[in-house]
Amino acid sequence: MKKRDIGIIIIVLAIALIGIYFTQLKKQPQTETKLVISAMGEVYKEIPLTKETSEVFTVETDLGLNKVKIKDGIIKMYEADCPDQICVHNTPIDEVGQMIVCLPNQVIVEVVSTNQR
Amino acid sequence: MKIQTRKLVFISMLVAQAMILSYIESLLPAIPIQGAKLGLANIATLLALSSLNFKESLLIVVARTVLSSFMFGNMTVLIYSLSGGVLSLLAMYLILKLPKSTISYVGVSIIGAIFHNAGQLSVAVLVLQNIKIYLLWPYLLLLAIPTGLFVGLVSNYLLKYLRKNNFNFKDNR
Repeated sequence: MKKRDIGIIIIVLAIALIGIYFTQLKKQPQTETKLVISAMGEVYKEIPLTKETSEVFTVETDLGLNKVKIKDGIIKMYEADCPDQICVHNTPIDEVGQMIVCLPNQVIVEVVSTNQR
Repeated sequence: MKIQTRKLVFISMLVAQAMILSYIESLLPAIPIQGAKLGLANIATLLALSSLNFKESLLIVVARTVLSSFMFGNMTVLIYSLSGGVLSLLAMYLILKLPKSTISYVGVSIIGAIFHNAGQLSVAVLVLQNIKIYLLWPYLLLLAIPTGLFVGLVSNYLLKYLRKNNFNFKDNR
Protein backbone atom coordinates (compact mmCIF):
# COMPACT_ATOMS: atom_id res chain seq x y z
CA MET A 1 0.00 0.00 0.00
CA LYS A 2 1.43 3.30 -1.13
CA LYS A 3 0.30 6.90 -1.05
CA ARG A 4 -1.55 6.89 -4.37
CA ASP A 5 -3.35 3.63 -3.47
CA ILE A 6 -5.01 5.34 -0.56
CA GLY A 7 -5.77 8.35 -2.75
CA ILE A 8 -7.46 6.11 -5.32
CA ILE A 9 -9.50 4.34 -2.63
CA ILE A 10 -10.71 7.64 -1.19
CA ILE A 11 -11.62 9.10 -4.61
CA VAL A 12 -13.45 5.93 -5.71
CA LEU A 13 -15.29 5.75 -2.40
CA ALA A 14 -16.37 9.38 -2.72
CA ILE A 15 -17.60 8.96 -6.32
CA ALA A 16 -19.45 5.76 -5.42
CA LEU A 17 -21.17 7.31 -2.41
CA ILE A 18 -22.16 10.42 -4.37
CA GLY A 19 -23.49 8.20 -7.16
CA ILE A 20 -25.49 6.04 -4.77
CA TYR A 21 -26.80 9.17 -3.02
CA PHE A 22 -28.11 10.54 -6.32
CA THR A 23 -29.68 7.27 -7.46
CA GLN A 24 -31.44 7.08 -4.09
CA LEU A 25 -32.45 10.76 -4.31
CA LYS A 26 -34.28 10.22 -7.60
CA LYS A 27 -36.66 7.93 -5.82
CA GLN A 28 -39.99 9.58 -5.10
CA PRO A 29 -41.58 8.44 -1.88
CA GLN A 30 -44.36 5.90 -2.43
CA THR A 31 -45.64 6.72 -5.87
CA GLU A 32 -47.49 4.31 -8.06
CA THR A 33 -45.04 1.83 -9.46
CA LYS A 34 -45.06 -0.73 -12.17
CA LEU A 35 -42.80 -3.52 -13.24
CA VAL A 36 -41.44 -3.27 -16.77
CA ILE A 37 -39.96 -6.35 -18.35
CA SER A 38 -37.97 -5.80 -21.52
CA ALA A 39 -36.51 -8.52 -23.66
CA MET A 40 -34.11 -8.01 -26.56
CA GLY A 41 -34.51 -4.22 -26.40
CA GLU A 42 -38.30 -4.18 -26.52
CA VAL A 43 -40.91 -3.95 -23.78
CA TYR A 44 -42.19 -7.44 -23.19
CA LYS A 45 -44.69 -6.89 -20.42
CA GLU A 46 -45.82 -4.26 -17.90
CA ILE A 47 -47.41 -5.07 -14.57
CA PRO A 48 -48.78 -2.51 -12.09
CA LEU A 49 -47.16 -3.08 -8.71
CA THR A 50 -48.75 -2.87 -5.30
CA LYS A 51 -47.90 -4.41 -1.98
CA GLU A 52 -50.35 -7.21 -2.76
CA THR A 53 -49.21 -8.07 -6.29
CA SER A 54 -48.46 -11.76 -6.56
CA GLU A 55 -47.76 -13.27 -9.91
CA VAL A 56 -45.55 -15.87 -11.52
CA PHE A 57 -44.71 -15.66 -15.20
CA THR A 58 -42.19 -16.74 -17.78
CA VAL A 59 -40.32 -14.51 -20.20
CA GLU A 60 -39.71 -16.54 -23.30
CA THR A 61 -37.60 -15.27 -26.18
CA ASP A 62 -35.44 -16.78 -28.89
CA LEU A 63 -32.49 -16.44 -26.53
CA GLY A 64 -33.91 -18.32 -23.58
CA LEU A 65 -36.26 -18.61 -20.65
CA ASN A 66 -36.50 -16.47 -17.53
CA LYS A 67 -38.99 -17.13 -14.78
CA VAL A 68 -40.02 -14.21 -12.58
CA LYS A 69 -41.95 -14.42 -9.36
CA ILE A 70 -43.72 -11.50 -7.68
CA LYS A 71 -44.81 -12.05 -4.13
CA ASP A 72 -46.34 -9.23 -2.07
CA GLY A 73 -44.79 -6.66 -4.42
CA ILE A 74 -41.29 -8.11 -4.19
CA ILE A 75 -39.78 -9.33 -7.44
CA LYS A 76 -37.38 -12.21 -7.80
CA MET A 77 -35.96 -13.94 -10.85
CA TYR A 78 -36.09 -17.49 -9.62
CA GLU A 79 -35.09 -19.44 -12.66
CA ALA A 80 -33.24 -18.86 -15.91
CA ASP A 81 -31.55 -21.03 -18.47
CA CYS A 82 -28.61 -18.65 -18.92
CA PRO A 83 -25.08 -19.99 -18.31
CA ASP A 84 -23.91 -17.55 -15.63
CA GLN A 85 -27.05 -17.45 -13.42
CA ILE A 86 -26.14 -13.96 -12.23
CA CYS A 87 -29.77 -12.83 -12.54
CA VAL A 88 -30.94 -15.71 -10.32
CA HIS A 89 -28.43 -14.84 -7.60
CA ASN A 90 -29.49 -11.20 -7.59
CA THR A 91 -31.28 -9.96 -4.48
CA PRO A 92 -35.06 -9.51 -4.78
CA ILE A 93 -36.11 -5.99 -5.81
CA ASP A 94 -39.09 -3.82 -4.87
CA GLU A 95 -38.05 -0.15 -5.11
CA VAL A 96 -38.14 2.31 -8.00
CA GLY A 97 -34.88 2.27 -9.94
CA GLN A 98 -33.89 -1.24 -8.98
CA MET A 99 -33.47 -3.81 -11.70
CA ILE A 100 -32.50 -7.36 -12.44
CA VAL A 101 -30.58 -7.86 -15.66
CA CYS A 102 -29.95 -11.12 -17.46
CA LEU A 103 -27.24 -10.34 -19.97
CA PRO A 104 -27.12 -13.60 -21.95
CA ASN A 105 -30.89 -13.65 -22.48
CA GLN A 106 -31.08 -9.86 -22.86
CA VAL A 107 -33.85 -9.56 -20.30
CA ILE A 108 -34.27 -6.54 -18.00
CA VAL A 109 -36.77 -6.48 -15.16
CA GLU A 110 -37.06 -3.03 -13.61
CA VAL A 111 -39.32 -1.18 -11.22
CA VAL A 112 -40.36 2.23 -12.55
CA SER A 113 -42.64 4.96 -11.27
CA THR A 114 -45.92 5.31 -13.15
CA ASN A 115 -45.70 9.10 -12.83
CA GLN A 116 -42.74 9.23 -15.17
CA ARG A 117 -43.81 9.26 -18.82
CA MET B 1 16.51 -18.50 -27.61
CA LYS B 2 16.42 -19.77 -24.09
CA ILE B 3 14.71 -16.62 -22.90
CA GLN B 4 12.12 -16.93 -25.66
CA THR B 5 11.20 -20.43 -24.54
CA ARG B 6 11.01 -19.38 -20.92
CA LYS B 7 8.74 -16.53 -21.91
CA LEU B 8 6.46 -18.76 -23.96
CA VAL B 9 6.10 -21.13 -21.04
CA PHE B 10 5.41 -18.21 -18.71
CA ILE B 11 2.69 -16.85 -21.04
CA SER B 12 0.96 -20.22 -21.38
CA MET B 13 1.17 -20.70 -17.64
CA LEU B 14 -0.49 -17.35 -17.00
CA VAL B 15 -3.32 -18.15 -19.42
CA ALA B 16 -3.88 -21.50 -17.71
CA GLN B 17 -3.75 -19.93 -14.25
CA ALA B 18 -6.19 -17.20 -15.21
CA MET B 19 -8.63 -19.80 -16.52
CA ILE B 20 -8.38 -21.92 -13.41
CA LEU B 21 -8.80 -18.86 -11.20
CA SER B 22 -11.99 -17.83 -12.99
CA TYR B 23 -13.22 -21.41 -12.69
CA ILE B 24 -12.52 -21.46 -8.94
CA GLU B 25 -14.30 -18.14 -8.69
CA SER B 26 -17.40 -19.56 -10.36
CA LEU B 27 -17.53 -22.17 -7.58
CA LEU B 28 -17.61 -19.50 -4.85
CA PRO B 29 -21.02 -18.20 -3.77
CA ALA B 30 -22.17 -15.38 -6.03
CA ILE B 31 -22.22 -11.79 -4.80
CA PRO B 32 -25.88 -10.68 -4.97
CA ILE B 33 -25.14 -7.49 -6.90
CA GLN B 34 -25.56 -7.47 -10.62
CA GLY B 35 -22.28 -8.02 -12.43
CA ALA B 36 -20.15 -8.07 -9.29
CA LYS B 37 -17.36 -10.57 -8.89
CA LEU B 38 -14.07 -11.01 -7.10
CA GLY B 39 -11.92 -10.90 -10.23
CA LEU B 40 -9.32 -13.47 -9.27
CA ALA B 41 -8.24 -13.80 -12.90
CA ASN B 42 -7.00 -10.24 -12.62
CA ILE B 43 -4.07 -11.57 -10.54
CA ALA B 44 -2.76 -13.24 -13.70
CA THR B 45 -3.28 -10.07 -15.73
CA LEU B 46 -1.38 -8.00 -13.16
CA LEU B 47 1.42 -10.55 -13.21
CA ALA B 48 1.51 -10.33 -16.99
CA LEU B 49 1.62 -6.53 -17.00
CA SER B 50 4.43 -6.48 -14.50
CA SER B 51 6.61 -9.07 -16.22
CA LEU B 52 5.76 -8.83 -19.91
CA ASN B 53 5.05 -6.09 -22.41
CA PHE B 54 1.64 -4.77 -23.41
CA LYS B 55 1.19 -6.91 -26.50
CA GLU B 56 1.92 -10.13 -24.65
CA SER B 57 -0.42 -9.11 -21.82
CA LEU B 58 -3.18 -8.41 -24.33
CA LEU B 59 -2.60 -11.84 -25.82
CA ILE B 60 -3.03 -13.41 -22.38
CA VAL B 61 -6.26 -11.52 -21.67
CA VAL B 62 -7.82 -12.34 -25.05
CA ALA B 63 -6.73 -15.98 -24.91
CA ARG B 64 -8.10 -16.55 -21.43
CA THR B 65 -11.47 -14.86 -22.06
CA VAL B 66 -12.03 -16.76 -25.32
CA LEU B 67 -10.92 -20.10 -23.85
CA SER B 68 -12.89 -19.59 -20.63
CA SER B 69 -16.08 -18.81 -22.54
CA PHE B 70 -15.53 -21.93 -24.63
CA MET B 71 -15.02 -24.20 -21.65
CA PHE B 72 -17.07 -22.89 -18.73
CA GLY B 73 -19.37 -20.31 -20.21
CA ASN B 74 -21.18 -19.55 -23.33
CA MET B 75 -20.30 -17.54 -26.39
CA THR B 76 -23.00 -14.93 -25.81
CA VAL B 77 -21.20 -13.64 -22.73
CA LEU B 78 -17.85 -13.52 -24.53
CA ILE B 79 -18.40 -9.97 -25.77
CA TYR B 80 -18.95 -8.78 -22.18
CA SER B 81 -15.88 -10.41 -20.71
CA LEU B 82 -13.74 -9.39 -23.68
CA SER B 83 -14.75 -5.72 -23.56
CA GLY B 84 -14.27 -5.59 -19.80
CA GLY B 85 -10.97 -7.44 -19.92
CA VAL B 86 -9.39 -5.36 -22.67
CA LEU B 87 -10.54 -2.03 -21.27
CA SER B 88 -9.28 -2.88 -17.79
CA LEU B 89 -5.95 -4.04 -19.22
CA LEU B 90 -5.56 -0.74 -21.05
CA ALA B 91 -6.37 1.26 -17.91
CA MET B 92 -3.98 -0.75 -15.76
CA TYR B 93 -1.22 -0.48 -18.36
CA LEU B 94 -1.53 3.31 -18.39
CA ILE B 95 -1.66 3.62 -14.60
CA LEU B 96 1.44 1.44 -14.27
CA LYS B 97 3.36 4.14 -16.15
CA LEU B 98 3.23 6.18 -12.94
CA PRO B 99 6.38 5.97 -10.83
CA LYS B 100 6.48 2.65 -8.96
CA SER B 101 7.25 4.34 -5.67
CA THR B 102 3.87 6.06 -5.49
CA ILE B 103 1.46 3.26 -6.41
CA SER B 104 1.23 -0.43 -5.64
CA TYR B 105 -0.84 -3.18 -7.26
CA VAL B 106 -3.70 -2.37 -4.90
CA GLY B 107 -4.41 0.92 -6.67
CA VAL B 108 -3.77 -0.61 -10.08
CA SER B 109 -6.17 -3.47 -9.45
CA ILE B 110 -8.92 -1.14 -8.19
CA ILE B 111 -8.56 0.94 -11.37
CA GLY B 112 -8.66 -2.28 -13.38
CA ALA B 113 -11.84 -3.42 -11.63
CA ILE B 114 -13.55 -0.08 -12.29
CA PHE B 115 -12.73 -0.13 -15.98
CA HIS B 116 -13.76 -3.76 -16.25
CA ASN B 117 -17.18 -2.74 -14.94
CA ALA B 118 -17.27 0.29 -17.22
CA GLY B 119 -16.55 -1.82 -20.29
CA GLN B 120 -19.14 -4.44 -19.44
CA LEU B 121 -21.84 -1.93 -18.54
CA SER B 122 -21.24 0.04 -21.74
CA VAL B 123 -21.61 -3.07 -23.87
CA ALA B 124 -24.72 -4.02 -21.89
CA VAL B 125 -26.18 -0.55 -22.52
CA LEU B 126 -25.52 -0.95 -26.25
CA VAL B 127 -26.85 -4.50 -26.50
CA LEU B 128 -29.90 -4.05 -24.29
CA GLN B 129 -30.65 -0.51 -25.49
CA ASN B 130 -31.26 0.71 -21.97
CA ILE B 131 -29.21 3.59 -20.58
CA LYS B 132 -30.49 2.97 -17.05
CA ILE B 133 -28.05 0.10 -16.68
CA TYR B 134 -25.43 2.73 -15.80
CA LEU B 135 -27.32 3.19 -12.51
CA LEU B 136 -25.67 -0.02 -11.33
CA TRP B 137 -22.22 1.54 -11.65
CA PRO B 138 -21.98 3.33 -8.25
CA TYR B 139 -22.65 0.04 -6.46
CA LEU B 140 -20.02 -1.73 -8.52
CA LEU B 141 -17.57 1.11 -7.80
CA LEU B 142 -18.13 0.64 -4.10
CA LEU B 143 -17.52 -3.08 -4.43
CA ALA B 144 -14.40 -2.55 -6.54
CA ILE B 145 -12.62 -1.29 -3.41
CA PRO B 146 -12.66 -4.51 -1.32
CA THR B 147 -12.22 -6.82 -4.33
CA GLY B 148 -9.46 -4.67 -5.78
CA LEU B 149 -7.79 -4.50 -2.39
CA PHE B 150 -7.82 -8.29 -2.10
CA VAL B 151 -6.52 -8.92 -5.61
CA GLY B 152 -3.95 -6.13 -5.28
CA LEU B 153 -2.57 -7.39 -1.96
CA VAL B 154 -2.27 -10.94 -3.32
CA SER B 155 -0.41 -9.59 -6.35
CA ASN B 156 1.88 -7.47 -4.19
CA TYR B 157 3.01 -10.49 -2.19
CA LEU B 158 3.16 -12.80 -5.19
CA LEU B 159 5.32 -10.40 -7.19
CA LYS B 160 7.71 -9.87 -4.32
CA TYR B 161 8.27 -13.63 -4.32
CA LEU B 162 8.57 -13.90 -8.10
CA ARG B 163 11.08 -11.06 -8.28
CA LYS B 164 13.30 -12.95 -5.85
CA ASN B 165 13.26 -15.83 -8.31
CA ASN B 166 14.09 -13.66 -11.31
CA PHE B 167 10.75 -13.85 -13.01
CA ASN B 168 11.02 -10.75 -15.11
CA PHE B 169 11.00 -10.69 -18.87
CA LYS B 170 10.90 -6.96 -19.24
CA ASP B 171 14.59 -6.22 -18.74
CA ASN B 172 16.25 -9.16 -20.42
CA ARG B 173 14.30 -9.03 -23.64
